[in-house]
Amino acid sequence: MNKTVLGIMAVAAFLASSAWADAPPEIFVVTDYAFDRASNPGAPDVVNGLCATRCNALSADYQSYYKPGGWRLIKAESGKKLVVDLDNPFVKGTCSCTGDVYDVYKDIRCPDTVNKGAAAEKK
Amino acid sequence: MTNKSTIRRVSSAVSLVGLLLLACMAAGAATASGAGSKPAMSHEEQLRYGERMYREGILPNGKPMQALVQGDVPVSGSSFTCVSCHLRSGLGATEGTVVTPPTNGRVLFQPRGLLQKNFEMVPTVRKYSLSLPQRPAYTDETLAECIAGGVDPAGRELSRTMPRYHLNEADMAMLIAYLKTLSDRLPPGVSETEMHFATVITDGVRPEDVQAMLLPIETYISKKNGIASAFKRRPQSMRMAVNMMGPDLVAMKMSLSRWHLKGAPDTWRAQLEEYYKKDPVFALLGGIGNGSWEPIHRFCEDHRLPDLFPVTDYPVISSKDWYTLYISKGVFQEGEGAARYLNTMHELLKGKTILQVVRTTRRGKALATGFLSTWKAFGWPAPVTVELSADQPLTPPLLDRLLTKEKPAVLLVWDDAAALPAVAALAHRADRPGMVVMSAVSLGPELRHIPDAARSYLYLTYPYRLPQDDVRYDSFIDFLIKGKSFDEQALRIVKQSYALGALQSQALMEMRGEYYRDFLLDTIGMMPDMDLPLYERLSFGPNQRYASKGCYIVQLGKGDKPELVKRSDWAIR
Ligand code: HEC
Repeated sequence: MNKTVLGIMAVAAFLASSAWADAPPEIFVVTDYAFDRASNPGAPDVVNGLCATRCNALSADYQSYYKPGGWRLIKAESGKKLVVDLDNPFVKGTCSCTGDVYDVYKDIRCPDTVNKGAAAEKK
Repeated sequence: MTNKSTIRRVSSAVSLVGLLLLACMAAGAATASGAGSKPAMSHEEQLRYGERMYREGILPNGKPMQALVQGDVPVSGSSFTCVSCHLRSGLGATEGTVVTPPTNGRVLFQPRGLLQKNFEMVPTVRKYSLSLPQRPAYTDETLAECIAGGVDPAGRELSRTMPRYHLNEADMAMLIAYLKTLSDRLPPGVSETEMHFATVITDGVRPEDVQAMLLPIETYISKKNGIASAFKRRPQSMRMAVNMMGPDLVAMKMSLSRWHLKGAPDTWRAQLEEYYKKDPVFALLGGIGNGSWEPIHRFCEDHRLPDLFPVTDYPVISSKDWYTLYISKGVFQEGEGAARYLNTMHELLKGKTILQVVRTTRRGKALATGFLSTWKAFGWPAPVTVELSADQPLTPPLLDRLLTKEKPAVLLVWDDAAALPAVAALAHRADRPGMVVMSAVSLGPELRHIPDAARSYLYLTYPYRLPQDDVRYDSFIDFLIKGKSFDEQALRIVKQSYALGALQSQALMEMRGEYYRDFLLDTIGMMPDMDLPLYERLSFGPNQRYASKGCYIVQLGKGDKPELVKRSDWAIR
C-alpha cells in the first residue's frame, strides 16, 4: 500500500503546480483512460469505472486555470500515457491514463484586465 | 395578418382528433368537477385552487388538467405545469435564446410595446423585449381564450410550445384570479429607490467569523451605494453602469440590518418575527450560525422571504422548500460524498461489512445521515453503526475491539481529530480495513498532521476546491482581505460570502427591474454555473437549493508540508 501512495506522490510531484521554480509547472489534462487487462485478467468489470475515477483524479481541471484568468496554458505534449497503479484496496491492477501535458505560465501581460474577478470588483 | 386568416389557421392547427378530444374532456370535466352546483368558495380558497393548477397541474376536483401540446398530443397538465415554463413568479423565463413571456396579471393586462419603458438602452432587457411580439392588453375573456385556444389579443396564434388547456369556466376563472396575484405588488423591503436587507447573526459564533461573513456583503452594498451617489451627482458620466444595471437599479440605495438572535434556538422564531415586523426586508443575505439553520429556514418559508447563502454547516435538507438557497449541504454533503465514492466500487464491497462509528454530536450525526441516506438511495443495505456519546473517546483498544468483532472492509469514522490516534494505531493491524474514511473538515488544523503511517489507508471527504488549486482564485478576494488577517476558517467564510455578493449582484442585474421575491429565486435558478473561490463549481437550477454539489475524496501526501491528493472527481457519479 505504501508503495502505491508513493506512486501517487510521484505523479503529484510531476504535476505539482505550487512550486514556481525555473521550469514552468506542468499540468496533465486527461483525455482517455483504460484498465490494463493484462495487469489483472480476472478483475471484475467495475475496474473500468475505477480507472475513470483514478485518471480523472490525476487530471487538472483546465477550467480552473482559465476561469480565474491570469494563467496561460501552452500544450507541451499530446497523448502522454501515464501508467498508474489502480491503487484500490479491494482489487489489483493498473490503469493507463492518456492526456495532454500543458506548461503553465502566469500571464503577466495585463493581469488586471485578464483577471475578471478583480476587475469587476474594482469598478 | 387579418383576424380571419388567423382563425382559419387556428382551426386547421387543432386537428379533428384534438377537437373531438376537447369535446369529450369538456363533457367529462363539467360533470366531474360539478363546480356550478357547489356553494360559492371564498376568494382565498379560489386562489389556493388556482395556485394548485398553476404549480401542480391539478384541477380543483383533484384530477390532472388536460392539455394539448405540439402536434395536438393530449397530455395531462401535471407534466406540463404552468410553473415549469413561466416559473414561480409568473415573470417568465429566458433559456438561451428561448424566451417564455410573463404570465402574471399585472403584465398581461398591460399592452406590450416593442421595448420595455426606461430600459430601451439596457442591452439585456432590450434583447429580451425584442424577442417578444407586441400585443394589446389582455382582458379576462381574451386571456381565457389564450389559455384554452392559444390565440393572443392581437389574433396571433401562439407557438405550439405553449400548450392549450381545457378548463371549465369556473376553473378558468380561478386560474386567472391566481395569475392576477402573481408578482403583483412590490414586496416589503423594496421601493422605487431603496432595497433593504438583513443578515442573521446567532449567538455563540466567533466574532472574527461574523466579521468574515459581513465583510464581502457590506463591501458590496457600500460599492453599490457609491455608484448610486455618483449617479445622482453626474448621471451622464454613468452610462456604462446604467447599461449594465438599468436605470432603476443604478440609482437604488441598499441597506443591511443585522438581526442578532440570542438565547436558545426555540426562542429565535419570536425574535425573528419581532425584527421583521419593525424592519421589513426584501431578503436575508448571508447570515451565520453554529447550529442548525432550521428555525431561520422555517421563518423564511412561512414569510416567503428569500434567504441567500447563509453560512451554516447544518442546512435543512429538503427537496421541496423554496426560499432558502444554501451554498452547499454543509456537513451532510461530506457523508454524501463518501457514499458516492464507495458506490463506485460497491461491486467489490458486496457481502463485506461497512462499519460506521458515529460520534453523536450534531456534526457526527449529520455526516452519518448524509452517508446513510445516499447509500440507501443507491439501494445498498445500511452499514453496521456504532454510536459513541459526545464524551466517550474512540480509544485504540475500543476501536480494536470493534474491528475484531465486525471485521469491516470499510470503516467510516464520523468523529473529530481526537479519533486520529486510534485510526493511526491501525497501521500495525494486519487485518485492518482496506479503507478508513473520515471528514477532512472535521479534523480542523489537525488535517495536516495525520500520522504518516495512516496516510495510506485514510481517505478523507473534502467539500472544497483543493488549496493548491484555490490559490489561483485568490485574486478575486484580494481587494477584500488586503491588510487583514484571517485564519483558515474565517477565510473560508469570506469566500462563501464573496460568492453571495457575486450571485446577488448578477441576479439583480438580470431581473429587468422586477424586484419580486419569487423572481429573485427564479432568476437565480436560470443562472449559468459560476466559477468562484472555494468551490469547484456553483450551479443553479429551477428547484435546486444547494449550489455546490461536489465533494472530493482525498488522501494526505507524505512529509511535513503535505498536499491533499485527489482520489476522486469533484462530482462523483
Ligand atoms: C411547455 C412550456 C409552457 C407551459 C407548460 C405553459 N406555457 Fe404559457 N407560454 C409558453 C410559451 C413559450 C409562450 C409564448 C408563446 C408565443 O408567444 O408564441 C407562452 C405564452 C403564454 C401566454 C401569453 C402571454 C402573452 O404575453 O401573450 C399566457 C397567458 C400563458 N402562456 C399562460 C400559461 C398558463 C396559465 C399555463 C398553465 C396552465 C401555461 N401558460 C403553460 C410556454 C408554456
